[in-house]
Amino acid sequence: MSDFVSLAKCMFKESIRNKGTMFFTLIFPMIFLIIFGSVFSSGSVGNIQINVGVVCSENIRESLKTLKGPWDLIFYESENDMDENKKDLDALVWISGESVRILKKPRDMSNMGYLNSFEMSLKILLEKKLNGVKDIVVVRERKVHAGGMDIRPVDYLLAGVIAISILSSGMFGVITLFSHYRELGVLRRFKVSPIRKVSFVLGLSFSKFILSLLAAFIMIGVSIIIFHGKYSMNLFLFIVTIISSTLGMMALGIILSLSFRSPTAANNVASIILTIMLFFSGVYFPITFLPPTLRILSFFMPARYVADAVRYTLGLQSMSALNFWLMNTVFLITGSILLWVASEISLKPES
Amino acid sequence: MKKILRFSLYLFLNDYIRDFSGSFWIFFFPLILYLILTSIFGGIAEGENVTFRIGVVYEEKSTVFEKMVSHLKGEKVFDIREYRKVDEALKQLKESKLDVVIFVDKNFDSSFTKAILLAQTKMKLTVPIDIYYVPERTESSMAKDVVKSILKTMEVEIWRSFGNFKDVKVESSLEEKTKKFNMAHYYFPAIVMMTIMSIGFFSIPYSIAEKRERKSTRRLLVSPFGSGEFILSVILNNFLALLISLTLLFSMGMLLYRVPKVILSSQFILQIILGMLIYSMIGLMIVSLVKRTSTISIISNSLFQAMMFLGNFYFNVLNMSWGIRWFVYINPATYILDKLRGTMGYNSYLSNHLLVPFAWLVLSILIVTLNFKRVMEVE
Repeated sequence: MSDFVSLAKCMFKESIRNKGTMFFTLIFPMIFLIIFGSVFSSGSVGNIQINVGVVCSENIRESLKTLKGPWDLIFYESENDMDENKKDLDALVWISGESVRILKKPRDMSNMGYLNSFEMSLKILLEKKLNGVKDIVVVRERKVHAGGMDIRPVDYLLAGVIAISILSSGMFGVITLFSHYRELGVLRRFKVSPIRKVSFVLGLSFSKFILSLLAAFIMIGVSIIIFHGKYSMNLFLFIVTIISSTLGMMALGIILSLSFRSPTAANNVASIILTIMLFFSGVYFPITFLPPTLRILSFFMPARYVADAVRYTLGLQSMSALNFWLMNTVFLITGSILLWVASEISLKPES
Repeated sequence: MKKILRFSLYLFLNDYIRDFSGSFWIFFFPLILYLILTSIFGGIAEGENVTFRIGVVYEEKSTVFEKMVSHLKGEKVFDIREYRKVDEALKQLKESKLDVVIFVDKNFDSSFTKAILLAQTKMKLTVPIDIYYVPERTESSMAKDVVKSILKTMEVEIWRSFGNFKDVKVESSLEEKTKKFNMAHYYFPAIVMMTIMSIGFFSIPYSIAEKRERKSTRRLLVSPFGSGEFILSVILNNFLALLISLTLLFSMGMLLYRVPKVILSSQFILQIILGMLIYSMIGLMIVSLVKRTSTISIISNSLFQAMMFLGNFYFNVLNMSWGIRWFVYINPATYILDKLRGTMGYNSYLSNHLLVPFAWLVLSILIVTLNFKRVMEVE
C-alpha cells in the first residue's frame, strides 16, 4: 500500500511540475472550450444574418415580414436602388405578380443552405397569399429536453468538448509520461527496484485520475462562469465516467507508447486517432450527417460513448442505466487488462 | 549564397526527412484533414449523407397521414419509424435514437376531411400536428424545420388539387462566379493556410529553439557562418518544405476534387507567399520573445488553434459577439484566407485585405530586429 501511495504522490507531483503536461491537460482543452463556446453560444454559429434585398409591391411587403428565419429583408423602391447596394447583399429578389426572380450570392456553404430555405419559404408564402390558402394543418412545436432541463445547444456541445478533453488528457498524458520515463531511464530503475507491478499501474492511474478530475471540474466551472452553462450533475456517476474513460484511454496511450519506440511516432498516431475521434464522434457534427460508411466507423469511437455518458451524468441527455453501466464496465475491464499487460511488458526484466 | 543553400538543404534533411514527426505534420496531416473535412461536409452541403430519423406516432390508424408520409419513405434522406405509443417514441428521442417525433391525433382523418371541406367555404377548421424535438441537438432542430416545411408544402399541394390554383414561378439563379460551389473547393484555401501556419508556428520556432537549447546557435556564431545566414537558411528550408507540402495538396485538390486551375494563378500564389512571410516572421517573433521550447510550444499551440478556429477557416465567425469578434479582425489569417477564397470566386466578407496582415508583418519584423540577439542567444 505504501509503495502505491508514494508512487501516486510522486507521479502526481511530477505531472504538476511539468509545465507542458499541465498546459495540455488543463489550459489547452480550455482554449477549445472558450473558442467553441463563443462560436456556438448564440444557437448555431453566432447570430446568422442573411441580407436579402427585395423589390416588390407595397401589399406584398407586409406578408414578407412574416417570413421567419435568419434573413434580414431590405426593401428597395427600384431595381437600380438595389443594384447600387448589391455588394452587401446575399440575395437579390424581384417579385412581380406571379413571378419571382432570385439571384443568390452565397459566401459560404451554410449561407447557401439558408438561401435555399428562403427560396422555398418565399414560394409557399406567395402561393398561399395569391390563392387565399387557408391553414389546414397547424404545426405545434413541442420542445423536449433530453435531460429534463431547459438547456441550450451550447451546453450540449460543451459537455462533448469536456468528454474529448478527458479522453485526450488520458491518452496524451500517458504517452508523454511513458516517453519521459523512458528517456530519463526511470522505467529501467523501476525494474531493479522492489516495486510491485500492481503498485506501479495503480499509482500511474491514480495520479492521472486526479488530474483528469481536476481538468473536468475546472472546465465545468469555466463553462458555468463564462457561458452560463446549466448542469445537473450526478457527482458519483460523473466520477465513475471519468475513471473508466481515463483508464480506457490511458490503456490506448500505453499501447501506442509500447508499439512505437519513438515518442514522436506514438504522439503522431495518437493525434490521428484524436482527430478522427473529433470528427466522427458526434461531438461537433451530428453522426446522422456523416456518410453511411463513416457512420459505422463512429460506433468504434470511444469518444462517442464517453460524450454520451458525460452528457448523461451532467443531466443533459437521457441514457438507459444498462447502457451507462455497460459502457463503463467495458472501459474499466479493457483499460485494466491493457494496463496490466502494459506493466508486464514495460517492467519485464531485461535479458 | 551557396553556403546558405547547402545549410538549408542540411536542415531540410534533418528536420523533415530524418524526423518522421516533421514530415508527418507538414506533408501528410494536411492531406488527411482535407480528406476528412470533404468526406463530412461535402455530403452535408449536397444533402447526400444527411439522414433524418423521424418517428411517427399514430394514436389510431390514419390513412390520410400514412399516405402523406408514404412518398417520404422512399427518400434516402428520411428514416421513418412508426410507433403506437408516444412515450416509447419520446424515450427514443431523448436517447438520441430519433431526431424528431410527429404525433398524429386519433381523430386526424375525420378532422382533416372536415378541414378540407370547410376550407372551400368561408368557414375554417385547423388540424393540429405535434412535432416533438430536442432543441439543444442541431440535427433535431433541423429535422423539425424540414418536417414543418414538408407539411406546409403538402398543404399547398392539397389546395392545388382543388383546381384554379395560381402557381408562383420562381426563377432562381446563382451568381456566375459561385455557380460551382463545392465544399472541397471551399475548404482548399483553409487547408493551405493551415499548412502555412503549421510551418510558422511550429517548424520555424521549434527548429531554432531546439538548436538554441543544444547550444548549436552559439557554435554557429563563432563559425564563419553568420546569424543572418542561419535565420535565412531556416526560412529557406521551411519554404522548401511548404513547397513540397503544397505540391502534394494541390495535386490532391486538382486530381481528386477538381479544384479549379485558378489556384495556380499568380494572385493565389502571391497570397500564399505573403502568408508564408507573415507567419515566418511571427514564428521568429515568438522565438525572440520566449526562451524555453516548452513555453514556445504552449504559445504556438494556443495561437495556432485560436487563429485557425477564429479565422473563418471552417465556419463563419464574423457574426459572433464583439467579446471575441475583435480577435477575428486582428487575425491576419482571416484576411489572407478571405482573399484566397475571393481569388477562387467566392464573395469576400472583408474589403481591405492588406492592412492587418502588413501590420503583423511590420510589427513582427520590428520585434525580431530589436530582439535579434535573443533569437541567436548572443552573449
